[in-house]
Amino acid sequence: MKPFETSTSHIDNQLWIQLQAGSEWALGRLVKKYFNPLQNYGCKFVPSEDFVKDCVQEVFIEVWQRRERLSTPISVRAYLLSSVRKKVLREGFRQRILKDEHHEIDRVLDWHSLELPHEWAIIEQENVELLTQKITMLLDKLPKRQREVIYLQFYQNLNRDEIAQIMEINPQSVSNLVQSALKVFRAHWQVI
Amino acid sequence: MSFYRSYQLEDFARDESFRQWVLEHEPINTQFWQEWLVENPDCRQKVHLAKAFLLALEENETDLSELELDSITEQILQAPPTSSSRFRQFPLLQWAASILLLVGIGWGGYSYFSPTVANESLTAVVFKKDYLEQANPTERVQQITLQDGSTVSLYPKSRIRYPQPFRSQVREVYLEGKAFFEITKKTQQPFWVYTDHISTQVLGTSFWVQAFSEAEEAKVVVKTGRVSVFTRKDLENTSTLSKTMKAGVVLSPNQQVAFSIPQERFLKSIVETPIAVVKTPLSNYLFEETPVYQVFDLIQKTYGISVIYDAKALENCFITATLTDESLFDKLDLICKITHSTYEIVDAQIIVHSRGCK
Repeated sequence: MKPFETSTSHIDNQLWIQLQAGSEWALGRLVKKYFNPLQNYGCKFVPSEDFVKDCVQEVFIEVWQRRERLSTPISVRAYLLSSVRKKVLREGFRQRILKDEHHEIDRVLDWHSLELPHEWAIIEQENVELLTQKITMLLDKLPKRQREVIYLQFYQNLNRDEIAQIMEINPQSVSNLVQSALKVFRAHWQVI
Repeated sequence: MSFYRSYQLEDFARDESFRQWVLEHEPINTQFWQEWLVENPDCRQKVHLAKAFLLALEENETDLSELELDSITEQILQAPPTSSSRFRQFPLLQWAASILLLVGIGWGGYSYFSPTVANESLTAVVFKKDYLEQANPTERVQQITLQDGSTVSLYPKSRIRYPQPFRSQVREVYLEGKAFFEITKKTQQPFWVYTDHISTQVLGTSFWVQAFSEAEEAKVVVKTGRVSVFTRKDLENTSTLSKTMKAGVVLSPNQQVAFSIPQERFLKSIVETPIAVVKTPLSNYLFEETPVYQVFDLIQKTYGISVIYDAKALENCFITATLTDESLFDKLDLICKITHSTYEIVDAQIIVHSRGCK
């Protein structure tokens, strides 16, 4: 039996069209579905919940007020993530909450220098919680842009071109960033 | 599902069914994956790792409740126009330009940048004698009665052209902007509404057409009767109207279609506030231990919208409720809540997913 799958992007597009036609219901649905994930994403740039909440709200306000002029994006999710990213970065710089560190050149990481205990590789009897903690630690050690690419590709399930648009880099750079990040995981867990 | 055996971390993390289990605890997929793990114990390691990987990325720093999100929605709806909002320093045009960039589809004839192109097409289509043109420069909807008794409510900033009188085989009007049509039924003389990108054919019915020249989308919303919508391109490729036409969309009441101009694609959906198309006594919506499939069938009849469900999954679901005043979507929300189901709207149909009742 094939497990149940919903084509979420299709539903998003339907909601978007209804929103454009002035449906407050559709707006409410999209807010319920995306507000939390968008706020979490924004917090990765500026760790201030209130500030990011305002930014996300502002993005929705702009979508609502400009709804008749907007076209239907190919991916509503990617469109919203991209709008929030722009808004948070722009407002962050403007209000001087954010310094220029996001444009730092990616550090080259020497994985062998990371002091991770060798028993990390043993996952056989581990529970998922412990494993999650370890991966979180590993992710924290990644350069910011690698972490963001991993987040967008695997958590937000976006494709390469969508990520390239959001991060304003070329698609090949997206692939390179993903590959260098995955290399780390492969190095630590043979099963991957 | 043996192909899952060869999956790597990346594949699991991106698999929709896997994600619904890990991130949304969706019951059907949860059950599937638990069973799959029992059947494939050797894959346990990598499944656990992939699961932990997604959970690590989740990092729920914030988690606003449904109630808080409702109040946020209210605030969004009531926000003053953008000029007075919190971040007022961005020029509107700059924002518009960035939206274009993100969406990644052509700006086309957006009137901001090409003010001359936008107004040409309607004139180009019908530059014939014997055509009347009426424009609505006011702020209010204007009523126009055509010679066949049909009425047109012309919205502001819209205009319409039509031959006076209509030709004998066909009634044709050309619209730019938005209008609501109530068409007198004449089976032998179909009524056509042409806009730049789409054409709508009807026999006798009422519906809205919206096709502003600067918009990237044209839309048709049906109130009563049935209409067919075609792209202009397809129509022009077909020499006579009677020939079979491709790419048409048939709409019935409570349905609408949006035509995305840059993508050249129709998207059919349900109107925002569906109304009853069949008069149904309110008492029909008093349910007492009623099998839920009967409720769905009643909704289907009342609103003329298909409800698709798995009869077997719902066979033990019963409802006791009064659903006389709620809108269609509120009714559906309530029914789904009671029966542990969810629904989605796909291609203007309601699809109910249920894990059954005990």
